[in-house]
Amino acid sequence: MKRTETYLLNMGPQHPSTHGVLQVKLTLDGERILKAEPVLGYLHRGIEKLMESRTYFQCLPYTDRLDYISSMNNNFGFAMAVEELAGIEVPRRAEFIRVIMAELNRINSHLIGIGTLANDLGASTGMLYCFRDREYILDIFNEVCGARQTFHYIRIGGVAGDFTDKARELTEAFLERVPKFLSEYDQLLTGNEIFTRRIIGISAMTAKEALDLNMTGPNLRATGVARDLRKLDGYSVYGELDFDIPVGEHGDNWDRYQVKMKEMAESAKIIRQCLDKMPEGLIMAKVPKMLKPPKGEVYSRTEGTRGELGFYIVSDGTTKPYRVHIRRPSFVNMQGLDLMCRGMLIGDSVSAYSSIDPIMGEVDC
Amino acid sequence: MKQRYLTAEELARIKGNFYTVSIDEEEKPPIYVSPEEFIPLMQLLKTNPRLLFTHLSCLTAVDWKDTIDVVYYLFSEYLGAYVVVKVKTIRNHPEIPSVTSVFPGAEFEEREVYDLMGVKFTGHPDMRRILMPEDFKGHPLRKDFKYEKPAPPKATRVSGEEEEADA
Repeated sequence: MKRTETYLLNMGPQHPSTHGVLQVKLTLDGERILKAEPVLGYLHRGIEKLMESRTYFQCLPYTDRLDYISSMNNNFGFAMAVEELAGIEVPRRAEFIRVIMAELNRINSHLIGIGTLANDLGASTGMLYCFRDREYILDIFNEVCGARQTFHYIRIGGVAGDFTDKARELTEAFLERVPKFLSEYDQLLTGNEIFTRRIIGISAMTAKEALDLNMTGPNLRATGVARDLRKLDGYSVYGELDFDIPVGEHGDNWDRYQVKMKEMAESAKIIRQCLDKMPEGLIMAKVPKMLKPPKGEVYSRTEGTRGELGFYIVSDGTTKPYRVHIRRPSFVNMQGLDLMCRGMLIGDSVSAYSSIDPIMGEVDC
Repeated sequence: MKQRYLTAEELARIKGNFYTVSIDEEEKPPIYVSPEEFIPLMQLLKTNPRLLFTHLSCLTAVDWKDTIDVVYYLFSEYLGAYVVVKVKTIRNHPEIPSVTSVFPGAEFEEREVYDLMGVKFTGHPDMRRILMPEDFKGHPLRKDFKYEKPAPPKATRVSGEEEEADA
């Protein structure tokens, strides 16, 4: 009599395609995945606890290290939360600079997302192309704040340095490149049969499933739900800008890939408008050296590169926050991994990890 | 454009049949509810066609030294508003019903609160630590948590380098 049994396979935390230190316990029936259980915590640094013993200004650099690929967006989210708590008005020029930086960082992050997806499916050239184009964005960041990673550029009350003429020149040059490299990827990846057959129809999820699992960001929009906090909340100056929300249809890896590709074009559109509309003026509001926000709590959310990035801060009226909680989109999105992997082959689980695009620094916080 | 919070009058209408609901007169009034009535309240907020708070934005807990408050921020796209629900728990035995029956996507966040704050969620499908190792003692985000550093391993001379230098 034939007898079969399921067995357990550990993917990671050292597996090259698990993006950092993600461990996934796969329960397998032959090659098919019955259950995928992510094991988190390898990169847990206790940032929420550390923030309780730092002043608000000292907390800001820690946000760089959450999702280290999109540090600008994290700075932006935390600065907005503290400003709402303390009632600080940000100068208009600074708002435009912030939006430019956040959108550049979104392109940067999506480039890495797509590059690693290509790399994991065997197309190393795709990754090299993406990293080549990412260099141009890092040059702009280097010009405005002198760092290529962990920028600490968007501060409480404004931004750290002005958007110089050199930076504008670099940004204009980059915007000209965007349609070029997007069509290059289309040639390299979108029309590539080896690549498309690995992602079309793989790891599909419906809109209801994604909403039930509390997913946000490109992962949700790929299922056809046009929810983007930039439009919905219209925070900062997003309300004045004209852009579309790309959505998918089937919620499979292909749609997630396509949503990211289209979002890069939309981000470029936003940056173009910001460059045209940006007024002259101050870049920093008057912020007291000893910032003591009044007693109370605030929940402020922004559209990070991976979804809803929320900062919940409780103030007890002193210079240090009483409690900080960070709603990390990658962490919440990880709940979808089980559903995405179920019934797939082991090889397809790799494309599921890449297309869900988690950054472990953010998942583990 | 910031999203608004439900006002005290709107909340008073929701209060309806709930006995343990109390509402503070504040700018952003939170709803305080007892653990017994918590799940029916969340069910009402999510499914009532005039409310439709279908998105659980933020789930966390705050240690107030005598109690631990579990905080839920719900968002309704239909109303364009947040509502804040808080449940006070006793610090020695913090235990409240799990909201996963209403919002299945709260699973990881509840595990995180359990791990770091020590609040038990009854009826949760998989109540284990998520970030800290399984054999970890204590709950680090509590205010009285003290981390005891494990004793450093005794320094031992590994190679004979120094001896060679002496010679």
